[in-house]
Amino acid sequence: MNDSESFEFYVVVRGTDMLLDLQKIPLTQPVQADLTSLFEEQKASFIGIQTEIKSFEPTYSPKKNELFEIKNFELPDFCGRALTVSQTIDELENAFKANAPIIKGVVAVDLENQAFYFQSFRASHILERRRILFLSKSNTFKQLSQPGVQIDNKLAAIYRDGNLYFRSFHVAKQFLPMDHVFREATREDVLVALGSDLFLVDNPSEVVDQFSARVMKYFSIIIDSKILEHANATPQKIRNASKKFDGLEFEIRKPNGVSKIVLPEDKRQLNYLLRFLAEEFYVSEITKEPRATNSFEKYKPVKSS
Amino acid sequence: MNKLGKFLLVVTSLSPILFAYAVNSVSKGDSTAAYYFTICGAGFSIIGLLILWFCKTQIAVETLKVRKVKSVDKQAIAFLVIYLMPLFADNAIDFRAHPWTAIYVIAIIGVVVYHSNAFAFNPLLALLWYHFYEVENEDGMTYMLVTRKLLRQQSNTIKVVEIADYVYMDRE
Repeated sequence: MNDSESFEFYVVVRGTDMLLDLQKIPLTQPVQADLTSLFEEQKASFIGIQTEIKSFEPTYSPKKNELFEIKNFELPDFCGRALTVSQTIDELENAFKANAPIIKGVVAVDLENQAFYFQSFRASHILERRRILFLSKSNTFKQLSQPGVQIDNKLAAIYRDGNLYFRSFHVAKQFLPMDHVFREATREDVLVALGSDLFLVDNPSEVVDQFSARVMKYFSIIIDSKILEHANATPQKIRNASKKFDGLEFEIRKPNGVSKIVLPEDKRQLNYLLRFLAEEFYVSEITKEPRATNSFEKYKPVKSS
Repeated sequence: MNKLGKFLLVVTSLSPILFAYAVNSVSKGDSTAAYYFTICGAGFSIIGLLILWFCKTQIAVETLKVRKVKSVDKQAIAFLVIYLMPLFADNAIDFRAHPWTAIYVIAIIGVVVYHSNAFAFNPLLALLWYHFYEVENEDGMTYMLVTRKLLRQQSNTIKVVEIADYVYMDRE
C-alpha cells in the first residue's frame, strides 16, 4: 500500500457537555499503514457482494447479510473538519484519565474517497496494564508498561458517497448524531403518551421502567407519527379495526364513563398493540390477506416518466 | 516528532557554524582544529539526514489542504546570517579563547530557533533542494510547509508529516 492511500485515524469522544467531537490518534507511520490495511479488510467484510442494502426502519432488525442505508446523510461538522482542516483537530490526550472525554468510536478517514469507517468503542476495549500479560522474547509473561486499547474486529458504520451504512441504530448513535433521523422516545415522552385519554394503565412510572428498548422504539414511532392525535384513534375505532387481525384483542374499560384501552401486561400482547398502533398491520388490496410490514414509507403517487 | 528529535534537528541546523569554523581554521593554518570541526559538522549533518529519514518513514501521514501559498525561501538567508554570526563576531570576541561565551551564544540561538520552530530553515534542507512556504488552510490557520515541489497554485492538497507544531514536511 502506498502512503497516498493511508487513512487518518481519530476517536469520536463525548465530552461532559454530551457533545460529540473528534480527536486525532497519535500514531507512527508503520502503525498507521497497518491499521489502514485492517480497516480495508473490515470494509470488505462489512459491505460485501452478498450484502443487501435496506432503507433504515427503526423497528427492523437487519439480518446478517443486510445493512441499513440512510441516503444523503448530513455529515456532522466535527467529522467534516477531518476532510478539510484536520490540522486543527486536537490530539487525543489523557486518554485513560478519570476526567478524560469518553471515547465512543474509532474512525478511519479516507480523504481520497471522502469516506469514513467507524468502529464502536466501549470501556472493555481499554486494556488495563495489570490485566494484560504478553509473552516476552525471554518466554516470560510480562505486564504492559502502559495501558492500551484493543481495536475492534468489525466496522459499525460506513459513510461514503453521501450515504450512511450501518447495522445497528443503537450502536451508530453512540458516535454519530442521529436524532434528526430518528429520536428515541424518552421515559417522560412515553409517560405523556400513556397519560393520554387512550390508555388505561396502573402505575405508569413502574410500567415504563419495565419497557424493553424495542417497546420504547415503537412508542417513539407512535409519538413521532402523532397517530394518537388522529380522529380515528379512539379506543372503539381501534378495537373495531383490530378485528381484521386474528388474535388482536384489546380490553376496553370505562373508568369514569370514558372508554380506554387497557395496556396489556403480557409482553407479546403489548408488542402487537404497539405494532398495530404503529400501523405495521394492513390488509392487502388484492388478496385481502392480513399482512405485517415494517416500512413506514408513505406511498408516493406514480409520476409518468 | 518528540522533543529529542526536535532538539537534534535544532543542533544539526547549527552545523554550518562548525563547517564555517573548519574553513576559518584552515585559513589560519590550524589543521587539527579544522579536522575536528569538519568531523563534528559532518556528524551533525548525518544526524540531520537520519532525522529527515525518520520523519518521512515514521511520522503519521496527514493530508494538508491549502488555500493560500506564500514562498518564504528568502527568510532562509536571514537565518543563514544568524547561523554564521559567531564567525563574524570572532573578530570582536575570540570564541576559541572564551569557549563559555561561544556555548552561551550558540545556546541562546538554539533556544530561540527551537522555541520559534524556525529550525525548518535548516541550511541542510536548503542544500537538499527543499523550499519553504507559508501556507494557509481553510480555517485561516498558517503553517510552515517544507517541500521539494515548486507550488505554482494557491490551492493544493499535499500529503505531509508534522515535524513540529505548525511545521509540516512534504511526504513525497
